[in-house]
Amino acid sequence: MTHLGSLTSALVDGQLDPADAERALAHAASCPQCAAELAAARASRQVLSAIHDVAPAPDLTARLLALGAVDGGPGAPGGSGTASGSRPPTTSLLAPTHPFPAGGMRGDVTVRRGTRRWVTSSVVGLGAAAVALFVLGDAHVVVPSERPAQAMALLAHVEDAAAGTPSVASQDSGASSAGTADGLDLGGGPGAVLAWMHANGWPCPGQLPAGATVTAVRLTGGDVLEVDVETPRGQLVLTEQRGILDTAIVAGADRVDVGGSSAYVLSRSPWHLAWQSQDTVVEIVSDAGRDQVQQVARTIPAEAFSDAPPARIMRGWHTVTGVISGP
Amino acid sequence: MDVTTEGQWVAPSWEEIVREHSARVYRLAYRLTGNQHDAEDLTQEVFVRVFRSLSSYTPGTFEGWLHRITTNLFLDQVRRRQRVRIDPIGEDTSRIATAEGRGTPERGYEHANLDHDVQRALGELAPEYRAAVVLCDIEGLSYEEIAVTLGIKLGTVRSRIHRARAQLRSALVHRAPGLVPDRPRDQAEVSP
Repeated sequence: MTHLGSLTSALVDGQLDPADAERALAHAASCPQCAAELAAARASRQVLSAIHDVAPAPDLTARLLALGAVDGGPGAPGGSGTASGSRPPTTSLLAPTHPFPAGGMRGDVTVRRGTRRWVTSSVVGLGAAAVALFVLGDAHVVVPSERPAQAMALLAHVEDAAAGTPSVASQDSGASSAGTADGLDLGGGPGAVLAWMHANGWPCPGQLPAGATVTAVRLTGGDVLEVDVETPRGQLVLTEQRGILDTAIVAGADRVDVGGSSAYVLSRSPWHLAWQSQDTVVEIVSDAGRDQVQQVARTIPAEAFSDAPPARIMRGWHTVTGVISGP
Repeated sequence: MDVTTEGQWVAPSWEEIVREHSARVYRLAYRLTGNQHDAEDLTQEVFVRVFRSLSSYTPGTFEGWLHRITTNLFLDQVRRRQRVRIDPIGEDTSRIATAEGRGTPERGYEHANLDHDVQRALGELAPEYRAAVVLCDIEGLSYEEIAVTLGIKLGTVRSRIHRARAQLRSALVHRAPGLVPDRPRDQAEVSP
C-alpha cells in the first residue's frame, strides 16, 4: 500500500468504511511516516473544536426578527405591527413577491444568482425610478444648510438632549397613523431602531459603529426623521426627509458617489454629508470623525439597494474613502 | 423543528425560525468571514433569502439548506471580491481583536489568545479549504454532506480537509503543546 495521504483525515474523521479503515490502520502500524501523520491529524482535527463558540449579538437577532415584521410574509402570519407605514420600495425588497423558482431551496446561489440578481435589481430599480418620479412630481424641495455653524448647533442641541433619557418623539401633524414612531422601543438597542427604519421605508444604515447607542428618534409630520446616535467618538445625527435635494443650492459643494447616489460634502468640521436616496434626502452631521461617518454613510444606499451590482457599491465606497480621507 | 407527530407538521413562525437557526448560521458565518461585522452581514443576507423563499419550505431540509446558502454566499462574495481586486478594508486584525473581546468577559486570556490564533490561521486558508474544514470540524458534517453542500466530489472534500488541517497545524505550530487543552489524545491504534 502506498502512503495514506489524504486518507489520513478521512480515517480520523471516521469517514472510511470498515474495510478501508482496517487497511489504513494496518499500513500506519508498519509505516512510521504515516503513523506520525495520523497522530498529527488527530491533534489538528481538534484545533477547531477547542475554540469557543460565538453567539450573535442581540441587535442582530432583533434585525433578523424584524425581517418577518413586514406584512404579507409567509413566516409572519398577520404581520406584527409596524407594517402599516411601509413604503413600497423597501417593502418589496423583503416581501416574497418573487419566490424562488422550484430549485430555490437547494441554495445553489452561485449558479443561479447571475440572472436572478440582475432581474431583481432591475425590477427594484424600475420600481424605485417609478416611485421617485411619482414622488418628485409632488416633492418638496429640501435645502440643506451649507453653514458649519448650523451643523454644530445641531450637534450641540443633540448633545444636550442626550444627557437626558432616551426618547422617541412623534409629532404627527395629521391624523394618519402611518409612519409614526409608535411602537419603537429604544430599549431594543440600535438594531431595533434600524429594523424599525427599514420596516417603515426609511433608508437605513446596515449597521451602526461599534458601541454606538441611539439616544433619540424624532419623527415630524411623518416626513422628517431624525436619529441621534451617540458613538464612543462623538455624536452623529442622521436626518432623513421625504423630498428632493435642491442641487442648485449645493452645486458648489464637493460631490462624492455613495453607492450610486451623488452625495455632497457640505462641511468637513463637523462632517456634513447630504445626498438623495430614492425618494428621501439623507443628511449626516457628525463630530465623530471620518471613520464613523463613512461607516454609516456607505451602508445606507447599499441597504436600500441591497441587490445593486456590487461593483457600484465598491466604487462608491472607494470614492467616499478617497474624498473623506483627503486633506 | 416543529415535527411533533406524524402528519401534524405545523409551519414554524418566523420567530421560531430565527431563534432556532440564527446562532448556527452566525457561528458558521463568523468562522468563515473571521469578523463580527462581515458575519452579521452574511447572516442577515442568508435570512433575507430564507424569508423570501419560505413558501417553498419543506421540513427536514432546513439545516442543510442553511449550510449551503451560507457557504455559497460566502464563497460567492469572496470570488467577487477577488475579481474586483479589493483589499477589504485592511484592518482585519483589529477587527478580530474587537470582535473577540466582546460579550464574554469571563473568557480567560489563554483561550482568547487561542481563539484569536486559530481564527487567524483559518483566515489564512483558501476560502474553499476554510469552508470544508469549518463544516467538518465546527458544524460536524460528514464528508458526504460537505460534498453536497459545496457541490464538489467526495475525494475533493477529503483532500481539502486534509490540506486545510495540515496548514492549520503549521500555522499553529508554536502553540503545539497547548493546542488541545483538556483533551487527552488517543493514540492507541498507531502505537507500534
